[in-house]
Amino acid sequence: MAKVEAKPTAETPRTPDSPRGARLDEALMKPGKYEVTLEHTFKVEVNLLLRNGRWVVVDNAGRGAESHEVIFRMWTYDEMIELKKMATSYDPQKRIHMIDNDLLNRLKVQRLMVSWTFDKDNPRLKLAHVNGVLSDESWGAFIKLQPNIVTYILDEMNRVYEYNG
Amino acid sequence: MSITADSKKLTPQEMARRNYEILCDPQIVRVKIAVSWFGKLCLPDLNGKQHEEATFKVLTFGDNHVLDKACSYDVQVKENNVVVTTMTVTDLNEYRRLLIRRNLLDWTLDIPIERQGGWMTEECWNRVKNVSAPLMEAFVEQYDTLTSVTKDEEEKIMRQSSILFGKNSRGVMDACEAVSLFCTLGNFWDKFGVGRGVPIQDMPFKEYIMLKMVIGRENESMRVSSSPKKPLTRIAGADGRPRASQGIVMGN
Repeated sequence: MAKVEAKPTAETPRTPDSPRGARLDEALMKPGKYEVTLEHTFKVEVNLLLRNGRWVVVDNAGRGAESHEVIFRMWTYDEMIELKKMATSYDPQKRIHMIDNDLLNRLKVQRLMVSWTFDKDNPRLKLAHVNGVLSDESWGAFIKLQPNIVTYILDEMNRVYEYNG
Repeated sequence: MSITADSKKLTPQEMARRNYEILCDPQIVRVKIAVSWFGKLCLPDLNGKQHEEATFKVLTFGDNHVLDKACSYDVQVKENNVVVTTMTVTDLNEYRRLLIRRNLLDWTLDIPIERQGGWMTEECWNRVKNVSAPLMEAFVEQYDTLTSVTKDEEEKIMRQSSILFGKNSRGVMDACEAVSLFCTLGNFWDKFGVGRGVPIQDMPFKEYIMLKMVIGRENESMRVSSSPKKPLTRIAGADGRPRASQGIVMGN
């Protein structure tokens, strides 16, 4: 997968009169109900049924189906801009900006996936984070899931992140 | 400029109030989105019963110019690993971030919008940037559709401009906003010397783009009509076709 470097951050608009640093009253204030914090998460439910030796994603957790959950953190507007910048490149021939959706999905999973229940029976699949980013081993565990399961998780994740269903 | 969002769901009283507000302050765009609460998360939802509203400043030519300058960066165009030229392009993601800082005036969310020197203050932005991305994107998307020329509008402008500047034109029926604006402004200037009285940087960017499209079409038609005319008589080739015969080499 092509590595796309982040664009240089644009200059901060000049506000010469604005005081520097956070104000004390705001530093003490709790986030408002619309502000995203680490507690703002959503879950993707994956119901799996073993059929002919391979796992099939089914709608409901019926008989014999295994139910799993993947927890994601909601992204803020600022995070969204940063991740999209990292996944966007400019094609000078076509003169258009192109978003590498595979890279964007990878960045979303690496930075916003909090936990899952696939590690319940297998501690090797336990997710680990380094500085808030999924470790390489954990990312490796994610992409080693069956492609249909990975696609389902990504689709459901994007339903919330991109359009909210 | 008549700018409304979600006008179908408004009562006549609300419509009247909104139209009056627009008349009094045409530099304001209001967007309203349906939302629902999913646990602690407020997200856009087409079937949502609650609404959130945001007030933006109309995107002007000046705003676009400032944002464009702040977000542009250089791209090197290479051929066989050799830099051929350098292009300046706009980082559209950064543009969207700065758009909020420049043009968001007020909203119904519990984060007060503080502005200074034409921009949102740093402290205010530090809170605003933490709003969930889908909710903020819904506001920006709707604002974007109201302040930019849509594909349908562009097609209509091009179609009507072609008719307007056609050889035997008798005007356009049911003129779109761009053609109407072009003709009205042109007539007022020609007859009374009356302009809009606003400097170009304060002109709404949508109006600027629409007028630019119509002027472009007018220039094109003037160029065509002033180009040297083809001779009326043509030498016809084989079968009377108006091009030279391909010619057939006959054997001896």
